[in-house]
Amino acid sequence: MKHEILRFARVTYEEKGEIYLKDFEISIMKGEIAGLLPLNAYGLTAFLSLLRYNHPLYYGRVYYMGKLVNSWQDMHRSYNKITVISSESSLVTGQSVLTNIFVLRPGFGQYFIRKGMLKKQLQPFLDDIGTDISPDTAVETLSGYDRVVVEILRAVVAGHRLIVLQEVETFVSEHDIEQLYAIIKHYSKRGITFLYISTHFEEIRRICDRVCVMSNGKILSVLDQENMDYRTEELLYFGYADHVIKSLYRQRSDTAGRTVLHVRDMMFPGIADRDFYVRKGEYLVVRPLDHKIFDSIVSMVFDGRTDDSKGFYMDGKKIDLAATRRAALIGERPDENMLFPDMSYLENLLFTADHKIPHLWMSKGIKKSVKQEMSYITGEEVFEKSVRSLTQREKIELVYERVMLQKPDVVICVSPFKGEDFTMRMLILELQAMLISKGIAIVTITMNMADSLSLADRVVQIDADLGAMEYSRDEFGSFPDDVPWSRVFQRRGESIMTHPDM
Amino acid sequence: MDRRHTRFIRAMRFLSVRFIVFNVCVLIAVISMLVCLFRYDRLDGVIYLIITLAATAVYYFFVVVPFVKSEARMRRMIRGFMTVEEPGSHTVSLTPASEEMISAVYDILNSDKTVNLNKRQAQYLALQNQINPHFLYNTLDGIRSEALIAGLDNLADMTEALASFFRYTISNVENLVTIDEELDNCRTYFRIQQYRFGDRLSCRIEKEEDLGKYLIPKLTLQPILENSIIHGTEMKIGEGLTIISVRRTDLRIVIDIKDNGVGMDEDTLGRLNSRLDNRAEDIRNPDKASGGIALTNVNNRIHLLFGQEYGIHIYSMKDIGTTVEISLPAVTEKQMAQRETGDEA
Repeated sequence: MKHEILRFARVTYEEKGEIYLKDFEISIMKGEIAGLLPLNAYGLTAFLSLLRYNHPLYYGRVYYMGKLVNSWQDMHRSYNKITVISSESSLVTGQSVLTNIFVLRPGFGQYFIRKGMLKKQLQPFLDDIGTDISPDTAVETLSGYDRVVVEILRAVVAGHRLIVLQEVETFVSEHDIEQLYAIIKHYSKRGITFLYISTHFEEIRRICDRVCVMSNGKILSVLDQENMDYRTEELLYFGYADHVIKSLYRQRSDTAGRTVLHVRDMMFPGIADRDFYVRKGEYLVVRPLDHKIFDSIVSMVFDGRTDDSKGFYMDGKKIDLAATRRAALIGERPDENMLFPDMSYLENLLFTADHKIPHLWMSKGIKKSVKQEMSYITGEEVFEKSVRSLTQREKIELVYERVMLQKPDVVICVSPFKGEDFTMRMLILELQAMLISKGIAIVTITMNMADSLSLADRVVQIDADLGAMEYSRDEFGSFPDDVPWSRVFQRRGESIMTHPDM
Repeated sequence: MDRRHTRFIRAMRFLSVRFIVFNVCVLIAVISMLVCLFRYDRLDGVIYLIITLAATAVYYFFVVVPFVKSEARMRRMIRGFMTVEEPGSHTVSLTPASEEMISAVYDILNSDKTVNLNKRQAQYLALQNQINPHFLYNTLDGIRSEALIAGLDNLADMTEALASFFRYTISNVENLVTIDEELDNCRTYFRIQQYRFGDRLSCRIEKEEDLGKYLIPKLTLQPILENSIIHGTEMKIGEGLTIISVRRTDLRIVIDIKDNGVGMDEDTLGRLNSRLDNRAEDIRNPDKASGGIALTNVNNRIHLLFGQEYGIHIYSMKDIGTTVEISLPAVTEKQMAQRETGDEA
């Protein structure tokens, strides 16, 4: 007999009159590694919140560890011992691994902290999973992988029997992900249950026994091992795959064109004095395989921390990427981090276009004509909206349209597809293709190539041990199967390089 | 303004006069307490404070909370969730009249008439009333004998399967049967269908050990299997497979009827799943053919026999397939008999 660790039985959940989960039915067994594939993000936040906190339900019941913990008939105010691990760390910064695992957990009833004893208590847990994380390490210095391991350990020590992992492949490096999977499998054999949430079916297939497909706050289907094949993947990604294939057939840029960005003498852990070139209209994916390299590249780009001759050059002149209008930077989750909510839509749209249009801020007429021109693309109604009330789609469109008006030579995007559902990924692909068609080069820095591969002309993989490896488009078929879209390159081989109609 | 607040304000308008008077009393008590506290004797103020707090607590727990719960329950009923609990099981009734009203609705929803509203069950009852079962079995046996004499083995087998199917369907009128009996009926039904579809359709039964003895409402699986063939695998190009799997968890028995047929789109799936808990639609439009009648029928019977926490849920994706999941309590014949004896006592 199997033990149901979690069951949402026909849960309907509403917040402020809006229904986020409708007839939501999910059941997870003890020791299982279950997958959750959200085809869109609707209702996912509500589900994660309901997992931990028993908010009043509109209808349905929630069972955790064999007990009814929430029901539409009763008001519950307790919380469930469930850990959710996502890209945002839940560890307390400024504190050590040991403190986070033992001292800060609820129920730690000791008045005097005996570090020696706690270390002794922690050591068997570390040995058990074969990790060498020092208990005294400050948590903010941990790599993505180590941070996830510490959060898992904290959950295990605190007696949490369900651990939810959300999009971990986007912040744990390729090297470490296999080790993480080994740890997950190890604990699942010990009876701890995992729910692995990812928008990438190929990631879920690598680790999970079965997958629940979620859309618009409903579970559409539960696929077991038998159904988790490539045919299902193609059916799931039907509209999206079509879109990606079109991107593959896109007219390729002339990669031998003018160099728009020269990255000179870059030094990363394990790599010294390496030069990179970005050419006009090119799509380059920079994929660090280590979290530290990823962080150092991102901080170099955004903080401009370079000295001597090292750094970024455009037309032979050293430039600060964050300051020049010839380059645009799009960080992670641009809809949340790259807009000014107190400014109007038009001001957000124009604030990097001042170098193109003289006296932009002084002249109402210019602004009016820009508004008229842009309303053909965006529609008129968005100009009347407050930035806060824009939808996620409108916000992302606003960021990319701003870049379009800025018309830089190169755009640097950091993990553009991270945490996005199919609809948003499709939109981002469209917007990036639009920039490339205008002759703007794109450099995507990401640990998970995800969907970038469909647009990419070149991929540079940076490994602390092996150095930097460059792959041109005709070598993409050599990537492993679990890299999204690599199979399309393998299957079609040379035929994808040029579309028959082009 | 927050929708809940709006509702609360609207709800307040419907409150009876005595609650408003009570409210005014609380207000007066608060004012008098404040006056005492700051103008006169501090001890009196403290006593007033205690009285006021107690009165407010009484007001909150005995008036506001029941009212909000009652309001929420009525709203659910308006939206079609006709899941009325047994009268008296919750202290949320505002007045004796509202309690009586709930009792009346409960009786209506749980009456045999409501149970029999679905078409399929009515058809079975009609068959039971109109056909003399022995006449039917004897006739079918006669056809089988003739077929055997004529060397038509397939026809003989088919007739035998049909006789077994009818015997199970219309002879025994009990509500609950064992899972094994239901699965046997499914095998018989599938045997009949295979004469039509040949090897294009196949059916596999996966059952964990010792689960056959547990009870299940009669004719639960066959209508769903029939649906799976008609709406799923029959319409598929290529080979269709239906898997019936029975498993047990610590909370329930789960029976999945899964096919690799054409599946359905998200909207249809949403509508079917909504119908399963929306009994109002069945009562308002019992004859309206909007699909999912067999499923609603089975689901209603499970609800009536075992309670709202059990029932049916459908999963489906276009071109991938459909799974109907049936949740049941793990009850054996012995336990059921004990329960009935207990109820009578």
